[in-house]
Amino acid sequence: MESLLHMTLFLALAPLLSGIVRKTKAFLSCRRGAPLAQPYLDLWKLFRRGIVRSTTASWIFDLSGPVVLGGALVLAAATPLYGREVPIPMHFVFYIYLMALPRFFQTLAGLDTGSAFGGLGSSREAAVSAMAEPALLLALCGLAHLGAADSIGGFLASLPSGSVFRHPETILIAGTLFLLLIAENARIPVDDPTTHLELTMIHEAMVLDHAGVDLAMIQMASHLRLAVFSALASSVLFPHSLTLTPGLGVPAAMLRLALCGVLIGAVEAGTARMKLSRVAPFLMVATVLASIALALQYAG
Amino acid sequence: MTTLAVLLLLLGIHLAVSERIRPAIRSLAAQGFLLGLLPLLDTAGTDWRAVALCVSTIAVKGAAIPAILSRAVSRLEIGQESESLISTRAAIVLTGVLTLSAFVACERFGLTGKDQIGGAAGLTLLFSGLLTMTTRVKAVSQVIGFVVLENGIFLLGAASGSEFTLPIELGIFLDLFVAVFLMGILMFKIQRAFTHTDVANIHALKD
Repeated sequence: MESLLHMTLFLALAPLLSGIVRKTKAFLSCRRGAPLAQPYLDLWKLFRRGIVRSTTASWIFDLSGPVVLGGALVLAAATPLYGREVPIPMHFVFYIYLMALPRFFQTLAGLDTGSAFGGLGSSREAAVSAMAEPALLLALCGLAHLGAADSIGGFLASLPSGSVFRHPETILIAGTLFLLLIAENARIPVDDPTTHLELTMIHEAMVLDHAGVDLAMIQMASHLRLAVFSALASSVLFPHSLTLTPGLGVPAAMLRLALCGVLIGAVEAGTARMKLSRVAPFLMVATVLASIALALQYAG
Repeated sequence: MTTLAVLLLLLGIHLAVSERIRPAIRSLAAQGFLLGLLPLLDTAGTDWRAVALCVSTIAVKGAAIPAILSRAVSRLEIGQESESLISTRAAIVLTGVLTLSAFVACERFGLTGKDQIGGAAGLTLLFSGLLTMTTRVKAVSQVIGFVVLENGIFLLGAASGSEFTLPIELGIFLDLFVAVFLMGILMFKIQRAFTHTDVANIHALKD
C-alpha cells in the first residue's frame, strides 16, 4: 500500500514538477507560459499518436522506450520521497549503475536510427554523463558516510537533521547534486530543453527520431528523472522531512519538490546556455565540491 | 567557525577559478567580511579588542581594498577577462588537488576537528592566492592574489590557536593597505607609460 502511494505520487508529481519549472521560467521572463498541466496534455497527445520509425532502425530502437521508462520507474522506486521506506531498497552504487542503464539504451537508439543528429546527440549525452558520474559517486559516498548506511533510503533518512551549520558538508553535497541535476536533466546552462536548433542540442538531438508512444515514454522518463534528482537534492537539505508520518510527509515532499522546481526555473531564466566546451569545467567544479565534502567529513 | 571556514574555502576556490575580474573582487570583499566576523566568534562576550579587530578587518579587507581595486579596474579600462596563463580546467583541477592536500597537511600539523577545517581553509586561501598571483597575466589579478594569500595567513593563524594580538594585526593591515595602495598607483603609472597593464609584455622591454 505504501509502495503504491509512493509510485503514484512520483508518477503524478513528476510532470507537474516540469510544469512548475516551465511556468517559473515563463513568469521570470515576463511571459504567461503554458498552463501547469501542459506536460500531462503533451503526454496524453503523444500516447494517442502512431509511431513513425526509421527504415534503418532495429529492435534496439523499439526496446529503447520501454527500457528508458522502466529504468526511470525503478529509480523512482528506490528514491525516498515522503518517508524512509522505499518500495525497492537499493545500494547506492547499484543506483548509479541504474541511472546509466537507460541512458545506454537511449544513446544506442539515437545511433540506431541512422540520422546524423541522433549520433551527434548520443555522443554528447554520453560525454556529459561520463563526466557527471564521478561527482555523483563522490556525493553519494559522502552521504553514505554521513548517514552511516549504504542504501539510498537508509542514509537519506538517517542524515543528522537540522545540522546544516554543524555539518556544512551537507550544503556542499546538496550543491553538487543540484549541479548534477542541471547537467543530467538537460537543463539550461548545460543544455537547452526548448531549443529548435539541432546543432546545439544534446538530449533533444538524441530523441529527435522518436515519435508517438515511444516519445511519450521517453518524456515521462525524463520528468521522472527530474523528480528523482529533485527529491534527492532537497532531502539532503531537509533530511528531517523524511522522518515525518505520511500525513505530514506527503505535503512536505510536495513542498520540497515545488521549491526545487522554482529554483530550477529561476536558474534557467537567469543564465545563458554555456558553450559545449564549458560543460567539462562545470562538471569538474561539481566533482571538486563533492571531494571537498568528503575531505570535510574526514576532518570533522 | 566551521561554517565560516567552509565559506572562506569555497570563496578561495571561486577566486582561483573565476575568469573575470569583477566577480573576483566581489569574492575578495566577501572574504574580508567573513574574516572580520572570525575574531568575534572566537571570544566569549564583548571583548573590545576583538570588536576593534572585527571593525578594522571589515573596513580594510571588506571595503577599502576592494574599492581601490574596482576603482583601478574602471579607471584603467582593462576589460573583464583576467587572462590566465593556464586554462580554467587546469585551474579547477589544480585548486581541487591543492585543497585536498591542504586537508592532508593540516592532519600532519596535528590540528583536529574544527581547527583542522579552519587550517585547511587557510591553506586553501594561501594556495589559491599563490595560484592567482603566478598564473594571471593582468596586474590587478596579481594584486587580488596577494590579498587572498594574506587572508589565508590570517585564517591559518586564527586556526592554529594563536591569540589575536591587536597591535600586530593592525600593523599587518597597515602594511597590506599601503601595499595595495602603492600597487594601485604603480598600475596607473604602467598604464600611462605603456597604455596597458599586461605584465607578459615586460619581457619585451629593452633599455
